[in-house]
Amino acid sequence: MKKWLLILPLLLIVFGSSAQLYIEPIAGYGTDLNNKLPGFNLLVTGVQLEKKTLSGAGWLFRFDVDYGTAAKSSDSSFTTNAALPVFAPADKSIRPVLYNFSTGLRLKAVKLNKTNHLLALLYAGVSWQKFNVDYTYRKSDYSILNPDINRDVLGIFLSGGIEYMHEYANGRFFADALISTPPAKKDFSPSTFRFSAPLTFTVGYSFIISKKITK
Amino acid sequence: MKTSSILPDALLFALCLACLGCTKNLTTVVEDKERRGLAIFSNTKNNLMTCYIGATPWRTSPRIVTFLSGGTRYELTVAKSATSSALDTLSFNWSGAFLGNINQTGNIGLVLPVPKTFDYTTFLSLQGQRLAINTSNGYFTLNLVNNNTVYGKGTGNIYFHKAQLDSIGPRIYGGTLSGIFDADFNTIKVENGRFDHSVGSDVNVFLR
Repeated sequence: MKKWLLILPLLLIVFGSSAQLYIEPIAGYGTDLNNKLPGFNLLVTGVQLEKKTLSGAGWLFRFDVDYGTAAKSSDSSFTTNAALPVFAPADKSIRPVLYNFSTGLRLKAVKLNKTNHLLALLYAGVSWQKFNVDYTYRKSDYSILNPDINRDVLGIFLSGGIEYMHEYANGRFFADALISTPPAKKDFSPSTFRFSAPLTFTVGYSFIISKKITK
Repeated sequence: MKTSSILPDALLFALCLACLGCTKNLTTVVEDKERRGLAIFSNTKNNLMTCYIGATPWRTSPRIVTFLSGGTRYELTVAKSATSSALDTLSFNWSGAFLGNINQTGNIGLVLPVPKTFDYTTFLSLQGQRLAINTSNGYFTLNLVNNNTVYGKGTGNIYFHKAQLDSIGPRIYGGTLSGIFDADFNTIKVENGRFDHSVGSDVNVFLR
């Protein structure tokens, strides 16, 4: 918990009082490019702050949580109990949760007209990914062959993408497509899945919270 | 002058001594979260067997390779022994200790009658077999060294998920052995046994 307090000075530096500030709730859908398991989809929710500069670029500070839907599959289990079939399938459910904390840049790429823009997004941050594995099988009699186990990782990640933005008088609507790397950490454990590299499609709205702009 | 001529030899000698002490652990333990103290049931050549003996976790000793001297300490040996009867015997012997108490060493074994023609090619016949061991068609053994206790012939069940030896050269063969077992020695039970080994003709399999 104390580690999170270290972020406060950073926030004060980046989002100081003399800045045009926006707060932006985000929601969307994601898929995992690093796993081909059926049903491995992500529900993305998050919030970011933007500090707008005179050049038009924006500093971003983003926190998002990606809830995975359960990827269901089946593994093999075996028993020595002569009264039971030697083999039985074991239903498996893998559910990931990703906590991402990143800072980034929003750069204007193409101005379509006065209110519509295409922008480039670049982020770097820390991702904590947790994969919870559940099996349904007759535990008292059967043993699963090469079972997956719960895993989690904390590592640095990068992401980038494009954004469409429409400006209103008192806010902005935007839609993003972002690709992220998996956390930069060596993956030693044997598993049928790998750490996630999400491709996300999100929408959000910018609420202005300070109209001052950096000189 | 004399010092400079001795120095390279001394360094080489020290290096040799250091290398003699170098070892590599060839055992991989992936914990089973649902059965405390046991490893998962696997067939990825993790080189271990774990089980409960009287509800206490028991694990085979790690497979250790010592460099330069070239020795390997195996956790499992498989041997075929000739007998005067119509069948020979194939014996499996796991050596290990209770988890958290490496001084409480012991051995768990299985003795199976096999045809006199049994060799590495017929080793594959065990694969996929679930055998009910009832002492007339083989038996389990249990020897807890520090308790000075040798239990009698045990009954039980064993399932060989993988039992494979492939020829990899003239009179050289290597492969995999994995499976699960339970054994009953009347006064004590061995439960949830699961084994996963790389096996070969070099030292730990004798099928002559």
